[in-house]
Amino acid sequence: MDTIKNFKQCMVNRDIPAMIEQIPYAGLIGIELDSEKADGTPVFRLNNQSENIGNPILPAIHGGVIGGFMELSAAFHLIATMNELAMPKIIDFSLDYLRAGRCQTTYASCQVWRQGSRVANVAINAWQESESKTIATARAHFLLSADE
Amino acid sequence: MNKELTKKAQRFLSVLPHCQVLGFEVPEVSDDCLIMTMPYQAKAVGNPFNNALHGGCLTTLMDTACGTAAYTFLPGSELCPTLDLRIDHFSAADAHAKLFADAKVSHTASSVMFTGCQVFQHPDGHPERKLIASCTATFMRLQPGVVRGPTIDQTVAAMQNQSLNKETGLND
Repeated sequence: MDTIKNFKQCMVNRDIPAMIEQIPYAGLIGIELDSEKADGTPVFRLNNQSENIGNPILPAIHGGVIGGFMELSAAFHLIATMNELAMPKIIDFSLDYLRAGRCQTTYASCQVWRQGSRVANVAINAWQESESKTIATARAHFLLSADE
Repeated sequence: MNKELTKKAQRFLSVLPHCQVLGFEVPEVSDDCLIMTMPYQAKAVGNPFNNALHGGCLTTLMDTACGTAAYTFLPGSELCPTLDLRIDHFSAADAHAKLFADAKVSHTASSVMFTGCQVFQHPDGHPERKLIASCTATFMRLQPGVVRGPTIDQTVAAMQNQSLNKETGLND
C-alpha cells in the first residue's frame, strides 16, 4: 500500500524523476527526464545500454524499446501537464519507424493535440543526433482514469 | 508443429539481446502461425497501482513476434525492418501470468510484408484465455541482390563463438 501512496504523492507533485524510480519498466529500459525546451515542453532521454539492442547486426535499438520509450514519454508528459490529475492508460498506439535507432542516446518529446475529459490524443517524436532527424513518430490515445 | 520453421525462428530470436532480457521464447511454429511467449516479469511492470505490465513490453513482444514470423516464413535469410506498428490494448496485462503472442503473415508483396499478431493470457482462475492486445505490423523487404552485412546464420555462429570464448576464458 505504501508503494501506491508514494506513487500518488509523486503524481500530485508532478515529480517525474521520482515516478520513473517507482516504475520497474522505466528503469529497465533506462528512461530519464532530460531537459525542458524553451516553451517548457519536457524532453525525455533513453540512455544507450546494450540490453536494449534488438538488431545485433547493425547494431540497432529494438523497435519495441523505442515504442516503449515513446509511450512512457507520452504518459509522463500528460501527468506533468494535465490540469486534473489522472493515471493515463494506453488505449491504442500507432508507431512509424523512419530511421534505424542506432546504439546511442535517444530523445523524445510530445505534443498533446487534444485532451478531453476522458481521452487524450498525444503525438510523440523521437530523435538521436538532431531533432530534425526524426527516427520514429507515433500517435497514442490514453484513457484518463481518476479512480486510482 | 513444423520443426524446421520452429528451429529457424528460435535461432533468429536467440541473437536479439533485448528479447533475452524479457525472456521471449518460441515454443512452436506451425505452417502459418508463430507462437511467442513472455514469462512473468516483475521488472517489466508499468503500473504501480495494479502491477500490470507496461505497454512497451507488449509493443516489443508483438514487434518481435511479427518480425520473427516475417523472417521465418520467408525462404532463406531475409531480415526485414519494421515500417510501422498499430497496436490496440484491450485489457491490462496481468504481471503474474505468461503472455502468448500468435503471429501470422497476412500478405507477402515484392517490397513489403503485412503481418498481424494477437496477445493472450490465461489468468489464474479463468478457464478461457483472455485477449490482451492486437497489432498489425508492416515490414520492408530487402531489395534482391543487396547484401547488408552478415546474415542471421553468420551472426548466430559469431555470437555462439563469443559466448563459448567467454565460458572458456579465451578472451581474457
